[in-house]
Amino acid sequence: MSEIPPSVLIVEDEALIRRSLRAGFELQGFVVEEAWSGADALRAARQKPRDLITLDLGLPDMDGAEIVKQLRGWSNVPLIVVSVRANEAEKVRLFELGADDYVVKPFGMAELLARARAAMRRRVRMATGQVDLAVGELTIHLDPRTVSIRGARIPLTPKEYRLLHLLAQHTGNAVTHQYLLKEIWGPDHVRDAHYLRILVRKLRQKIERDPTQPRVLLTAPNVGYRLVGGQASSEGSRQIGSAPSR
Amino acid sequence: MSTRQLSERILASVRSEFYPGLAALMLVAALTLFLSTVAPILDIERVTIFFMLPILISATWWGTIPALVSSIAGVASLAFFFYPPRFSFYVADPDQVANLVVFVGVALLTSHLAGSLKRQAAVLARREKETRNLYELSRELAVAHSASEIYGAVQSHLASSIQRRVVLLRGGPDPKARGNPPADPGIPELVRREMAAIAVSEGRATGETVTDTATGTNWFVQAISHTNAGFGVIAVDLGARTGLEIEAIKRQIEAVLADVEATLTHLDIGRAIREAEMRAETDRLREALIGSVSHDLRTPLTSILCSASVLRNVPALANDPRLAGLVDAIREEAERHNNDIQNLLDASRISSRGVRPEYEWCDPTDIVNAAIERFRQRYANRRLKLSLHGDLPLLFVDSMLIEQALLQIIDNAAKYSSSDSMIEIATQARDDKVRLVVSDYGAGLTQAEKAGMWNQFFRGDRHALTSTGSGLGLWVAHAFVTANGGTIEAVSEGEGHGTTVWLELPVVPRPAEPLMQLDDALDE
Repeated sequence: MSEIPPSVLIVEDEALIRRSLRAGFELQGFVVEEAWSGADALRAARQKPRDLITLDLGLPDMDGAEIVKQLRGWSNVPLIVVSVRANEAEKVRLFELGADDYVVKPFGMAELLARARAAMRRRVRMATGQVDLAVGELTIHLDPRTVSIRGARIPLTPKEYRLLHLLAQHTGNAVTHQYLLKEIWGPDHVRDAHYLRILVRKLRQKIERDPTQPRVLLTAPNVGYRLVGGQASSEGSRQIGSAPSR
Repeated sequence: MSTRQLSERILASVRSEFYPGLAALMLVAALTLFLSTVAPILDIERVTIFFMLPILISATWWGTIPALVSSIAGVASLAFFFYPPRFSFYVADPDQVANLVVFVGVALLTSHLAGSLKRQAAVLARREKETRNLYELSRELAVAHSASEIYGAVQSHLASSIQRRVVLLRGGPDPKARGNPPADPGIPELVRREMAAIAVSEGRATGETVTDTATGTNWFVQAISHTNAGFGVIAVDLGARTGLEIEAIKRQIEAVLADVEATLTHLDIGRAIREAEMRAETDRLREALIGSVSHDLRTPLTSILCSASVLRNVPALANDPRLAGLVDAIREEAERHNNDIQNLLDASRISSRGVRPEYEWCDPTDIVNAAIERFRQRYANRRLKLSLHGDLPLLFVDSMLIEQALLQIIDNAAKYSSSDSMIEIATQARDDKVRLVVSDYGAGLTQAEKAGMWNQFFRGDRHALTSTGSGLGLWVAHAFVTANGGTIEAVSEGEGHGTTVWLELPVVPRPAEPLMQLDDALDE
């Protein structure tokens, strides 16, 4: 299977980190380019389309959020933000600006690659415009609105379906509490996190094998929830870099 | 005091006593009418004593002057209507003359006593209110975090005791730094200028009355303290009042200010303001320092971790157990080091400003799973046995803090037990609490360890040589759990018999949600 190797733009001002990231991505078959400032990154991103950008927030010349905002003005490239800062409000803001995921420094390469893979898969799926969403053992049919697990249809309440559908649209990526609350209960309820906690628990009881050990509907601590394919966490590194064949 | 002012004052007091005096007269008239009709029928001989009634009533309700009015009216009525010869003020019987004299004496004494009692009660009530106000003020001052909070408290205190609009210009130790009066369109320019002038002049004590000709309103502007201009300046809106009324309000303001000044001096507001400012500045500096230390320490760790995890997947290394072990050691040490940095930063925040939880509703199972996931990043191969309750109540806590605390406990369990032993993690619901339990089959606890383990910098002697650590982890965990209203406890059957630690968190009632919000009909 001959494929064009995926490309990644690493935006990072620390030379040593750049070097290890480059090695990590190259070993997985990526074509790597580097940028060490915000301006540099925006310029490089405009030059040609990438399959992935990893962005360090602590760049010397520009605020990371500003870069995300500008980038999202014209590109929907998968974007992973990398930072030592783990401030909740900032994290949520970045997600709202359009970052696909957030990795806190220090991190291992495997973690970063897993997040990158999920973000890239999502773009591919959005581009193909599938009618039915398949997430691991789950299939979400849009017309009629039903959900089945391993082929067997499961009854969901409208709100449970709505939640699952919202998450499935962003499979692999965290969807923020605020966004979910607003979409499901309306803008007056964005602070009623307990609604969401209970709804998630009910949905997990229907779609998870062990609701206390969720494998499909995961919690992104302090940010929101994410839906992952059943075996996402153990898919191994074989798939990295190769676009899903579906 | 000029004669004009004196006559004005007398006029004012006459005006204020007029209606009570009239009421006292009416009382006596009513009593006279009643007694003159009823006494002959009931054959009441001694009517004198009845006339004590209006005096007592007037004294307790209205004060001394109405009481005197009713005494005089009472004597007149007795002499005219009741003592023979009737319908003349002449009293013939010497016995009755003596009666009247005694009556007048008792009446005077009674009205005086009752009047002063009433005055005392009024003074007491006012004092009580003032004391309550001042107490309220000092309580607010004691918890104030910034100069503006201190001034907010002073301003609302003044406004509530004077019952008028009060504008306050904050002071400060440095005359040049004293602020400009608030740019409120309701404050005349003249008043603002006067406030600024008083603020920068040390020791200009007397208040000034400023008249704003545009609106016809008078303002009273004065430094809060006669001795310390750093306490600030107030301006009180007197409205259209003039002359004596202003004098009365001024006296009131002076009295309140004297109290406020005493309180402020006692609390040393100048120092309080400096300290509040310093606290804020120190906090900013510390946060900046923590941020930069955190960045500088973690950046190299990121390269180390990243490189190690890249190397770990290179076939040449992965296939040689000795080399793979080395790479794992690098990764594990870097993770541990990162944890130590986190503890150090947490500890520094806790000791400087305490823990400030950000509460939200969260699912305890999510917290446990998040902690486990982070633990797995450090110890991928440790065996964990989970028994998680399927239907725990939601908690209202800061999930980040609880997660960090739980991670610390699991981390400790891993650290002090052999790497092939099991660590058990369980969640339980008990009454109105949720319990997160971590058990290991490791080193256990000695009595001394059990006693000291939650202390800052505590390190068990037994482990000093075999393991490293700052002795901060459990202390941080304890602080985080307590700040969320929880408790943390450790039990062990002794050395070598493993340890069980549990975190217990309170379950608070959830805001009621309409059933429809969650349990809408099945979509079938």
